[in-house]
Amino acid sequence: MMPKRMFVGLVTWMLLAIPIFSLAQNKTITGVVVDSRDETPLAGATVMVKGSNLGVSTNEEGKFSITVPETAKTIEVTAVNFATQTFAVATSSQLVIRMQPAASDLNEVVVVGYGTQRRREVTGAIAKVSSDKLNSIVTPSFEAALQGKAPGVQVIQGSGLAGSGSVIRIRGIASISAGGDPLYVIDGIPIIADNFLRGNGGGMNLNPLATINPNDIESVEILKDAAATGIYGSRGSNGVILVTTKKGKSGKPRFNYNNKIGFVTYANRPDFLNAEEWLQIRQEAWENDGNTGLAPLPGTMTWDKARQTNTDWWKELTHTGLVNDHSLSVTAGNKFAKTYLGVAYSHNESYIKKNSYTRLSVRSNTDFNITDRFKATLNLSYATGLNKRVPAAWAGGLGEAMSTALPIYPIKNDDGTWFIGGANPVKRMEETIWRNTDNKLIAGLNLRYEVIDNLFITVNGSYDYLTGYDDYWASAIEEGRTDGTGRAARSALRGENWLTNATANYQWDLNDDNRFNFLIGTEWQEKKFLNGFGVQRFIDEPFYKHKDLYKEALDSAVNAGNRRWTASGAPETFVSVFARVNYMLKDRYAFQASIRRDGSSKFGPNNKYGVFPTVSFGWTISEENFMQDMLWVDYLKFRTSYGLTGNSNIASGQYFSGVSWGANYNGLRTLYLSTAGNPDLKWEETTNFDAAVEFGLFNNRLTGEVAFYHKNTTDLLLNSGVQPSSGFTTQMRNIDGSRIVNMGVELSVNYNLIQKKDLTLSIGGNIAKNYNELKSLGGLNPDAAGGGSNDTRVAEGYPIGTNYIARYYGVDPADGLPIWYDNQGKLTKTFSLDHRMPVGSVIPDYVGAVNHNLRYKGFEFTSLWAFTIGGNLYDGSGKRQAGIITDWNIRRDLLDRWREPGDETRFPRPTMNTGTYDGLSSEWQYNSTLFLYDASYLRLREITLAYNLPVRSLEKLKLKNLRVFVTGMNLLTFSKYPGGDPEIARDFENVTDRNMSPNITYLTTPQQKSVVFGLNVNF
Amino acid sequence: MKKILYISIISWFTFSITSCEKFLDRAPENLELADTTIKSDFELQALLNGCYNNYAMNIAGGKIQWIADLMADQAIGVLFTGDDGEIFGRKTSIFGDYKNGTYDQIYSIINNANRALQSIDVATTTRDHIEGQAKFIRALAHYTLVNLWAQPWGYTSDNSHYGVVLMTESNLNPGQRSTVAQVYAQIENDLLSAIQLLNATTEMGFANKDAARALLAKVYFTQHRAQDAFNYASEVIDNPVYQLDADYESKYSLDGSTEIIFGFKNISGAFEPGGEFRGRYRSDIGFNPQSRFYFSNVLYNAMNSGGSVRGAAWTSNSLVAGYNVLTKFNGNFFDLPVIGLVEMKLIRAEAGARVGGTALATAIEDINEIMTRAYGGTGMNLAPNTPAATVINATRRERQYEMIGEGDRLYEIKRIGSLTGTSIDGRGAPWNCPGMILQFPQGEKAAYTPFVMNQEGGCN
Repeated sequence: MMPKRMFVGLVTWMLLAIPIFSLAQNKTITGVVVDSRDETPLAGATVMVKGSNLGVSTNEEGKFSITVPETAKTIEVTAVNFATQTFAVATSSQLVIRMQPAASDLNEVVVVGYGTQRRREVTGAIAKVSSDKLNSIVTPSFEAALQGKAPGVQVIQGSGLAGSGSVIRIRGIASISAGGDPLYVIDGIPIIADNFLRGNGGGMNLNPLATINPNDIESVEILKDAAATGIYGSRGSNGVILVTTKKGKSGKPRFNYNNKIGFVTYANRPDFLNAEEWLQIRQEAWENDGNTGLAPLPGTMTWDKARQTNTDWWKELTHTGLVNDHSLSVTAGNKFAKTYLGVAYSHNESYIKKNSYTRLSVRSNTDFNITDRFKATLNLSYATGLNKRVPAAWAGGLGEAMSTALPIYPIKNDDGTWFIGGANPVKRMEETIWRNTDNKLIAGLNLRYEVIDNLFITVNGSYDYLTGYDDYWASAIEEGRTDGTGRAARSALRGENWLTNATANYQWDLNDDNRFNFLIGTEWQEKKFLNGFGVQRFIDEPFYKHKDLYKEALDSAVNAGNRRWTASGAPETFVSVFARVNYMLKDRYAFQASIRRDGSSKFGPNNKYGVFPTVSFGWTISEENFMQDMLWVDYLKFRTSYGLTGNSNIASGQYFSGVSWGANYNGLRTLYLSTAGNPDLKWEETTNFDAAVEFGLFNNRLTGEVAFYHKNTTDLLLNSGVQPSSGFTTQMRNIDGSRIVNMGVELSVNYNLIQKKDLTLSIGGNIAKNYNELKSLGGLNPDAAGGGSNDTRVAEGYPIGTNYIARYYGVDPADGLPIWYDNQGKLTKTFSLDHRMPVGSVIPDYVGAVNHNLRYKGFEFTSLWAFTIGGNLYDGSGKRQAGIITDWNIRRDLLDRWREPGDETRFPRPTMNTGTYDGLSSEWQYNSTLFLYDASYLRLREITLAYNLPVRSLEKLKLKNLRVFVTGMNLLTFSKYPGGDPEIARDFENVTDRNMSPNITYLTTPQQKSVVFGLNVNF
Repeated sequence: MKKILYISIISWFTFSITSCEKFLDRAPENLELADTTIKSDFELQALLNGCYNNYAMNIAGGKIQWIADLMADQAIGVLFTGDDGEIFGRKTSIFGDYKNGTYDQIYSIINNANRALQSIDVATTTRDHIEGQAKFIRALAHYTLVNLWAQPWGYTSDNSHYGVVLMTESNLNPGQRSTVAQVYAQIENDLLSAIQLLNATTEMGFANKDAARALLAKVYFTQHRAQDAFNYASEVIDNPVYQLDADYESKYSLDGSTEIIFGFKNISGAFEPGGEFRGRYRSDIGFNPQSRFYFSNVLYNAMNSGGSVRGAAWTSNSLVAGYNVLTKFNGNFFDLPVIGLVEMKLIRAEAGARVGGTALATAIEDINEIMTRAYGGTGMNLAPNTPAATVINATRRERQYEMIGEGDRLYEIKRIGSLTGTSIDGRGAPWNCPGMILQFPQGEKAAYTPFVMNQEGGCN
């Protein structure tokens, strides 16, 4: 607020000035200020005569009219988030001023928790990713597009499956049994983003975020440190991803149409032996074991039949997928209301046949200007996501093509019936229909009232609602039924998430040098999930084609005493109060303190409330007088923060010692002891220190940031380590004395190499190093934390997700048998699980990306290369694809095996009997460093060539902007891993596995590679 | 002043509405507090219904039978891989979800039963029957465990070798394994008590006095207590409700068997036990030698000799070319027998022969009844004066065929081994080699370091 005295002074001065202007020769300049990207008008931009105090603001339509004295030479236009523009006062008076987005603007608006801040006020670590960067490629879900775009944010796309979610880790992993995912907040609503709503059926997760139309997103802010996330208290430790959707703009209706059409295939295909080669290795193993004659074959196959067959299952299951994406939006506004309306249709086929994600979405965001003091915003969005599903990984489909669907198996028998003597994923694909439908509604109403000057009371109410149906149908053939009818099954789920908060915000400018901003607030949230009773009927089509039969089946189940809806776990509730104070001294010293107190249904009665305070400080050094002579420094800021955050990403109500009702038995109710209970249950606690320098040098040609952080997490949550003979296999509890440290350095830079009118070239990138160590697990054994299926463990002194396996020395050239290290480091030929050691880590040493941006006239050529350096990749399926020859496919690179005395090879002699390798109990336990690889990779994540049509030619077409482009994703990958795709998140089996699963592959569906042609028109 | 007033009001409002304990104390809707929920016979019975359901669906529906058959000597396992291969190889390790999951489920059944017993005082009208069922279930579960995870009765002379963890109350720190003697003592006590407490008759799927007697007969038979086994088997056999089925198709059928003493009733669409039987033994659909039961020509021929009706009904060497398979479980659905009349008669036949005297005569009648049905006449029957040893041999032979695919053979190898000192294992391993029992899940030792694990491997 402008102090009264100053205001009076200014008005007086202006009044006094009028006669002067009236004496001079004046001229009037009119024009319109627009956003150069989409030609939308910019309201509130300031148009000033340079060197004077004479200025006006643009109106709702971006128009301005300014009368300037004859002597005025230069006009300066400023607008928040845009680079300042100057132009000479010319004769032409009808100007169109196209504002370019600012590279580093101290006045840039940054979205923070419960508000916005100017860049100069920000004291926390916040990375902002704008809409255009999110929409540059077609990904299964918007969050995957964040890969490589913010330092310290590791994004691993789940897989190449349609609609697949990503694993996002912000500044490392600090949990074992609690979720490590960041909190997703869309327009102030912490939304349902849980990937496990339907468990892990089919070897893939389903991702509610996939229902969000990326074209509706204005920006994504990634909050990383305590100063930024502290206001989210017990949910801040994993970082927060704030998504802000587009708002309405003033003026006449303006349309934007966006179309992408493209093709999708696999980024990588593992190379397996063909039928003849497979049979040869099988026979070799059989003979190695001392047998004679032909080896028995799996799947009731005869040798003759096997020799005649050579099925390429991968080829049978894949195709070139089609991407077809249309998005239309309109913005319009007057002084009473501004609205944004977006509709979109997106059809994204993966490269796997019968797998696609189709989204239909509509969003309307409207800002109402009811009175000068009373404003309201209503955001509504609705989306339907239809996921046509196929099983993957361990569940079959392409997973089988990499495992048990052997090239010696035919698809069909000679009589035309399906081959069922072994895995037949084609049969399954053809004989089943599986789809999930998710409907997601997000509605938010925000009322803001300025009670007295600069005191704003804001009340928010929002509702996030998800319904989903899982439809499965399998033919009688698939079901192995003899009565000829197929089976249809349908189950439903529902998620309800409401939130209400009220904040009071008082901006108090004591004087120009001392400005305060006080925020207090309270928030209530309840989130609950319900599972609909799953029904099945023996019918010939899926239930979605026979909704009457579904209803009938459901009604009869309900009449039989089953519940229509059963809560999935406890409702998740939070009641919070929070406060934040910002103090800006001389526009360059920013102080912030925040505190939040969270109570939650997740915490036990003995620890019901947690308090999370933070303090932080930012110093814009470049604003200091002593810096004014250093002309090469345009911007320099130091910031630091310290605070406490929590992680409460666990299911609710686990502190109850409870029983749960189950499905009926003989028509009678069943009751089970379901949770062991723990009244002391609480959040994980992280003390978080952050220090960083932000800079803009050489006329802002070189911009960037260097940050250091240290996070110390205690009271780790563990959901295992209970003796199974207790009858419980889990009990969620905080482990006494447990501690994880994450510390790291992040660097991001951008350099504008060429800055000419028609030619610009910039290169940039980011890199982050995270050090992760489990300092203590309260003395528990590495196996206590589980993670068994990933062959990773947590061991004190090692990172989370340590490869805890036997160490392989090599092959004994004399007999071809494997040689191991025992746990003392001595060589032995006996394999033992007691010899497992921590030998690798799934966490890379460095994660980052490099990008370039070349612009020549209307052409743009950009690229983004994502990389990880260091860390290990464990090939969990390799143990079944080499050595012990079973009914699995054999990867070609595993052929380097012992055949006769004297052979020096990587892999031991093939055998069909686990007993050949002394001490080995089963193929599953054949985990060793033999399958451990360097995880480093470099991937051309994005490459785009675009052309913006010249404005002149557009005017004839009555268009404001037209852009055509072609984008490639994952076109190139460089990796030392021979087994397929190096970007891996194993199939999300549970939270613990998810924390420990990056870089563990087990028949994981490789990422997709795509080429997309696009068109973007504004009119 | 006005500002201060507004700000104060807002602050007060904000901080005053924020402690609503009820809003924060939310149990899952389908989860209720153990202490407040279990308040009458209804909830106690529901706990036991949960035990039955779990035992039928996750344990006895084919899973423990498959594990036992893998470890025994009838299945051909040359193509078995993964968990199957490990179990077949008699060298299970600390991992292996199939085995470990079974273990976890059995203990969760015990936990449910123990919880019912702990709250038995809330019961009124059906207290005895509830207590009896809980004890029966606990005994059945412990017996299942000790058979698979511990060396058999008689492995040491005083049975002081490690058995399994004995759980007689619900708690989170079970600690160490008990001895086999202690485990059997608990099983016996539970069953003797259950026989007193249980109702005489129930619907199929619920324990009654005969179910407890039949189980106790099995337990005594395992403990080589011939007279006791004979007596308890007799008590059940003497109940005319149980009759041998006229044909072999009835045993695994819907509503077709009159032999079931304890078992589970298939309720179409609502409760369909036996899935693992169909997945592992079925031969008419989806047969794969890598994951299903098939057996040798020797066994096939033996089962089909003497004009065996049984062999013709239950086996085939033509349904799947090149494989001898069972047809016993070739149905979409069936009632699931757990303890049946044939087993009682087989127990009584062998026990009776060992007791001698009038019991031997009863034994001969029993085995003749079984053989008459099996061979479609009396041609194979034993003479009334057949010596005990011959009766025992005939009984053991018939038992092998009658109980094929039901996981019985493993326990016979161990029982006969510990009784006679001779291993009858067709794969040539000692009856008491380490790998003839399963390894415990790693979770036991990970959470309780002193836990004594089993020795692994060492059989073949």
